[in-house]
Amino acid sequence: MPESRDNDLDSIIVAKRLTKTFYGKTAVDRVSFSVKKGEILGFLGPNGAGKTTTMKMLTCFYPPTSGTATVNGFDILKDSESVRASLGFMPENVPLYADLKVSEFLYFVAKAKGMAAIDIKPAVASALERCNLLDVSEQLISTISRGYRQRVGLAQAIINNPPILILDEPSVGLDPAQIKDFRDLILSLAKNSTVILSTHILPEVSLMCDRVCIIDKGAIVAMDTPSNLSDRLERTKALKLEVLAQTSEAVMTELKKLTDVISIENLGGQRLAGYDLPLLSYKIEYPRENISVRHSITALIAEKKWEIYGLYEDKLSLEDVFLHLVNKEKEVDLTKNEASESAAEAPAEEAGAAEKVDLSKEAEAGEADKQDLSADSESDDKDQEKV
Amino acid sequence: MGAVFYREMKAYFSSLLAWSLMAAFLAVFGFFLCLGISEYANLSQNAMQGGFPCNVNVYFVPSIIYILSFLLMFFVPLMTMRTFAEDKNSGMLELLFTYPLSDWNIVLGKFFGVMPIILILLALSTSGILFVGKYCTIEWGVVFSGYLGLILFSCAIAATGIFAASITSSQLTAASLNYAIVIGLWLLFYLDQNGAAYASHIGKLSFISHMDFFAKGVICSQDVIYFAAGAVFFIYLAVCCLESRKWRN
Repeated sequence: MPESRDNDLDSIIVAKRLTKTFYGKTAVDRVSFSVKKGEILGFLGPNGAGKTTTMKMLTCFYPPTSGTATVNGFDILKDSESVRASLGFMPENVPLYADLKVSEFLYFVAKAKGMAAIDIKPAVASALERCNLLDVSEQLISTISRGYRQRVGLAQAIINNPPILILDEPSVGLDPAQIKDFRDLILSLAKNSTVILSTHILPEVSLMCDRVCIIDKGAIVAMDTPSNLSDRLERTKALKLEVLAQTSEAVMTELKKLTDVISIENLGGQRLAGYDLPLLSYKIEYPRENISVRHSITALIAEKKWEIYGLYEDKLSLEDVFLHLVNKEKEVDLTKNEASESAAEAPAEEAGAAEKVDLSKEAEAGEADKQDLSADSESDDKDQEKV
Repeated sequence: MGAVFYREMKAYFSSLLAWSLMAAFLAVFGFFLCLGISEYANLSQNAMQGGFPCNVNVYFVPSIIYILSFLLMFFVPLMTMRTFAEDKNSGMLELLFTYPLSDWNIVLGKFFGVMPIILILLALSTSGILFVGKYCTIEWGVVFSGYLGLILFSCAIAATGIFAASITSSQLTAASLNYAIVIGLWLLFYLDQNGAAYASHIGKLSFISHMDFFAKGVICSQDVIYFAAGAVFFIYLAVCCLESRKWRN
């Protein structure tokens, strides 16, 4: 598990080996990280990974079983009240008092957060305005929509302008249009704060966060910027080739002749207006170090005089990275199965293909017409992964 | 604490809860008041025939104080049972724990949030005594002592109610547990009556034996301390209960 080494002075949150066990089961296992002032850190992980437990420890809901953290310079164990005064927390299911009006609820929160009586009225007005709640300020919370409830949840977190915001699955349960609005709202409010947000919506992380912390089974499996994460974990490179040709078979036969290629995937064809020939797309995957593959492909195109429509580099999405990291364990199991299968003289290709589906995008799983060029290179590749 | 108190007051008075409890309490009290008055009327008539005086401050006022304490025993748990259950079920309690509020603040806010309704009920109940006072000479010192006892008594019951509510997320369980505690403490009185020496000591913990002097117009420091200490003890237990989230697995 990677341990944070950058406990710099400018880190506003520093977690040191936070561990939480419930009835002997470890929910969070020696999690260490630090968050710099003004940064937006995304906790990404499947359900039950330990995101909420980590957040609850940081918000002093319960103390860690071992380890500690400092939030805004205060220790969560020794100075819990100061920690809580310097953060705004929005829990996952946004609990609110349904029998209060929106403005009354915010008044209650401002009072509970210890704001001086004179500051409460302007703080409520400002929170209502910043979260676009002015229309519903005099409505009972029980009568407002989910989108507005979510905003009230955010308003209660920011009402005292805390330097740190901790948001647990902030956009869960919203429709796509609301999610976009809400995301923009968080980004606008986050300008003056440090934000930790948890989510299992992958695009949210790459759109909003400066850094991502991928958590699985209570431990941090990776932590970096979204782009670095995909770069670092890219073991293979892929090219997307689009040519205008009569038949797919002819192109495929020629492509198969290329050496050092891991796999070629036929992405299907389509007719484009204004072109006589259909547009055929292929995804060619090759080992990262074999740059010569690119030359071979361009040479092949020139030699065969194919009418090229496009040739792009296909980058691994964060989704691929996430699935890759989270499925690592499954993968090991799969490899074990594969070993036993090959002992029983089962075809190695099948196991390889199964793994491929596991690691690739879900959408591709159904339509992929994957051609494994060599079973050997595939299993080599897996060995690398295991290492 | 002010915030939680504000929230509790809003919760009682913006819903039907406070109003319906007050209406029910006053209706039942009115019924018992009528019974009390007619009983006293009979008693004083017989007394007059027998030629001995029947003092309203000895025969009527204490019985009203006992009736009120008995009613409070049944109504206060209905008021306190929701204090933590709603917050626990909605998840609001978790959010409160992340605010810079201590557990004492939360519990005391809830406790003082219940007290105004009880005080309003007691204030309204004085109308019955004021009515009788129009026709008899009531010694207001006895009434004051009785009501002081009732306030202290309700503080103790409210504290047991807050404690019962803090350990469960079900309103029904909270009320049942509270009834068990309150009725249990009430019945300890019988140990005091006809038990062994040690039983008599335990019997001293009974609510009723400490209401006795108050109802008769005597303010005894040990009774004041008993109710105040009881309230503090159960509030402390409620705080411990909330704090248990920190050490419980």
